[in-house]
Amino acid sequence: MNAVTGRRTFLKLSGAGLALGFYLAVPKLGQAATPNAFTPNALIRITPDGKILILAKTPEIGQGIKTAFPMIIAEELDADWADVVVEQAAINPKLYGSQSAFGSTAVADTFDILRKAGATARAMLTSAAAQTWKVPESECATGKSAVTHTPSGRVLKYAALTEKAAMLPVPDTAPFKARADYKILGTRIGGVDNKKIVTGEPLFGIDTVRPGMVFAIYEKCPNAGGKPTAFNEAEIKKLPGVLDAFMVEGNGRAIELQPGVAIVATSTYYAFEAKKQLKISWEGGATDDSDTHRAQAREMVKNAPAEMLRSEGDLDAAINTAAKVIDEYYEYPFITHATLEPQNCTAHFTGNAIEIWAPSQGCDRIAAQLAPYLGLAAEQITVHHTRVGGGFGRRLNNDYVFEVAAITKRIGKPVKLTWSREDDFAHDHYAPPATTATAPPSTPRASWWAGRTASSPTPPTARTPPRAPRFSTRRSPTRSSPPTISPPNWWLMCASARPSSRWSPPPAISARRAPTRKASRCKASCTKPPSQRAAIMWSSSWKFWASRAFCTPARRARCTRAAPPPSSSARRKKPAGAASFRRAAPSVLRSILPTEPTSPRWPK
Amino acid sequence: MAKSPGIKLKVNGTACTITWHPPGAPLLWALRDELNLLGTKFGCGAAYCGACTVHIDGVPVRAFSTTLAEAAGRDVVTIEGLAAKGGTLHPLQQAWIDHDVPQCGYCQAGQIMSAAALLDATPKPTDSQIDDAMQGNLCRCGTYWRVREAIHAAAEAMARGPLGKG
Repeated sequence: MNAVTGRRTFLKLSGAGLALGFYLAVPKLGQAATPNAFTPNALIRITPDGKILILAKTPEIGQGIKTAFPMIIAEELDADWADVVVEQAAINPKLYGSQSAFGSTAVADTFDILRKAGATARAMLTSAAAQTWKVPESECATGKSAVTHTPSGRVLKYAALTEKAAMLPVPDTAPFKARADYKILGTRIGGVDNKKIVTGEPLFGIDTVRPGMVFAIYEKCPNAGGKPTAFNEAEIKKLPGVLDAFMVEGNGRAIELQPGVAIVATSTYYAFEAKKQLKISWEGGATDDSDTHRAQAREMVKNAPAEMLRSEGDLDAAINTAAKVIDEYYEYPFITHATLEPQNCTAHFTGNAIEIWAPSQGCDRIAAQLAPYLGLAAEQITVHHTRVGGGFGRRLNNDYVFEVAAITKRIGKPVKLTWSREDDFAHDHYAPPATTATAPPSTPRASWWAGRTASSPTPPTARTPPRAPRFSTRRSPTRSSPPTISPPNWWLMCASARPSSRWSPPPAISARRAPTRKASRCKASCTKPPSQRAAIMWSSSWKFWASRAFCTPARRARCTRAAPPPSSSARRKKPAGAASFRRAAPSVLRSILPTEPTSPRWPK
Repeated sequence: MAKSPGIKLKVNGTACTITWHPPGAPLLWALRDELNLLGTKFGCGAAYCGACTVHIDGVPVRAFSTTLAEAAGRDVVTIEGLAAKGGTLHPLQQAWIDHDVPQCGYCQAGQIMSAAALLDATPKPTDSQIDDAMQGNLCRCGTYWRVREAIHAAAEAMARGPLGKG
C-alpha cells in the first residue's frame, strides 16, 4: 500500500531554492479529519547552501514526533541527517492538514505521506542530475544528500541541483527505497530539541515571553458548570502587583470556557498570591462526586440495564458455550492526566486580531474554535505551537486557550495565563471512570471479550449527541496479528457533568481495561496485599501520575524481592533493562486492579 | 508595579538585584518572570516534583520553596549556568544528549541540576545512590532508566578528565 492515490501535485518555486509543495491525500487522524481530503503540504526546502529544512507539522508533546517525522522524510530523500535542520511548521491546517497529535497513531498514519514527500523530492533531484550529465536516470543513485552517476563516479550534491530540480514537474509516483537500504530509520537519532532542553533554552508554552506581557490566573467553580456571582473585587485590586481583576462569562461549553474570575498581575507570583485572597460567591454547578458515581455504576453493571448505548453479540450464549469462564469485576476512577507542565497559554488581542502561543495537542482547531467567541474571522487568529510538557490527551481540549483569550480580549495586553498544580488537578478534563464486569478470553489468542461496562463518556452536547465510548479495533499496520480483544458486549452510560477527555492512548477506556493479564503479572510478582497494591496505584493523584510511585527501581526491587523465582519465560519477558521498563510501566499504569480480590467479583 | 527594596544575589556568576519581587516571594518567580531565566520550570509549587531544582552555594534546592530572602547574598546556579563559560556542555548535559534522555523534556532541567549536585558529592555513584539522590525529581514520561544511565556515563566522563584520557 505504497501509493497515495487521487492526488494532485503542484510545484512551488521560491527564490531560496527548491521547495516542494504537495497536494497529498491526508488520511483522517481520528476526529481531526480535514473537511477537504486533499490538502497541500509543504514539508521540504533544500537551499543552495546545502541545508535541508524539514518542517515538523504536528505538536511535539514528548512522543518524539518532531524528530520522527523528519527522519522519515530524510530517509526517502536520501539526505545526510547532518544536513537536516528541523523546524516546527506554522499552524496552518489548510497547508499541512491535521496538526493535532493524539491517539499514538501519527507515525503509522502519516508514514506513507512523509515517504512520498521525500521520495518525490529525491526523484526530481535524480532527474535534475541525470539531465545535467545527459545520462539515463537509471544510471544514477542517491545517498548522503547527493546524486552519483554510478558508471563515471561523478557526484552532484543536492545543494547544487536545487535550481534545476525546481524547474521539473512533480512526478505522480516515485519509487520508495527498499527497507534494506534504510540508513536513518531504525537507527537511534536523538531528539532534535535535546540540546535546548539540557541547556534550559525556552521551548515550552510556559516559557513564552512577549514585550509588555502581564501574568494571569483564572479561578473556576469547584463544581463543574458553576459560575461566580460576586467576588471581593475591590480588595483584590488593592493587592500588590495586581493590575486588574474581573469575572468572565463562560461560552456554554464546559470543555471550552467555563465561567470564572481572572486576576492580572505584574508577575506570576503576584497573581498566585492574589488568588489566595479571592472570596467568590458561586452559583449552580454539578454536585456529583466520585462515590455516588461509583455506586451508580456498580448497580448498572450488576442489574439488567435499563438503557444501553451499545449492545453487541450474545453475551449469555457466549458465556454458556465458553470453554472456561473467568468472572472478574473491575473499576477505575476518574483519572487525571497530570502533565508536568501545568496548563498555560499566552495570547495578545489587538482588536481585530489575536496571536496565541499554545502548548496544545490540538493547535489546528484553535482558530476555528475561538473565532465565534472572539467575533473574529479564523484568518485573524494566528496560532504558534510551542513544545508541550506532556500531553497524554489532556491538551486536546483548548480550555486554557479560551481562558487567556477572554482575558487578553478584556485588557488588550499580551497575557500569560498559568494554572497552579491545584488548578490542574481540580479542573482536569478527567479520563472518564468505568466499572466493568467481564469474562476475559479463555486463551491468550481468543478474540472476544464479553462484559458489561458502565462508563461516563464526554457529556453530550448539541454538537456531540450521546454515544458510547468508541472502541477502535484498528491496529498499527505493522502488527499482523489480529486484535485479541473485541469490544465489550454492553455499554451503559453513567452520566457526569465533569468535562472529560481522552487519556492516552486510544481507545482510552478499552485499552486501560484490556491488559488484565499484565496486571496479573504485576500482582504475581508483588508481595504486598491487594489492598496495599491498590493503594499504591490509586491512593493519590500525585502518586499515580508520578509513575515512580510504584515503578522506581527501588520500589520495583522491593516488590519483587520476596516473590517466587520467575519461570524461564517470565525471565525472558522481564529483563531489568530500560526498554522493558519503559514498555511495562505504561501498561501497568493503565491496567485495572480488581477492587475485590476473591471470586466471584460481582459487586455486593 | 509593586517594588521590593532590591534583593541582591549572584545568579550564574552575575550579580543581580531583584526589584519586582518581595523578599518573601519564591526564588522561582524572580528567576523566570524577572530575570527571564526560563530553564528552571514551575511544576507543582509544593516541592513534590523537582522541576524547579537549582543550586544555592552548590546545594540543590527547590526554587519555589526557597524565598528570595533565603537566597539573598548567595550564589545561585540554574540550568543556564551549568555549562562552562565558553559553552562547553557539562558532562551531564552531554550524557543527556548522548543517551537521548528527554521525552517531553519538562522535568529535565531539574533532573540535571539534582544529578550535578549528586556528582559533586559522589563522583562515582551506585544505582541506589542515584535513586536516592534523584528521588525528588519526577518524570511524567518515565525516563528514569535513561536518567540513571546518563548519570553513570557522565560520572565516567568526569573521571576520565577534561581531556577524555584515562
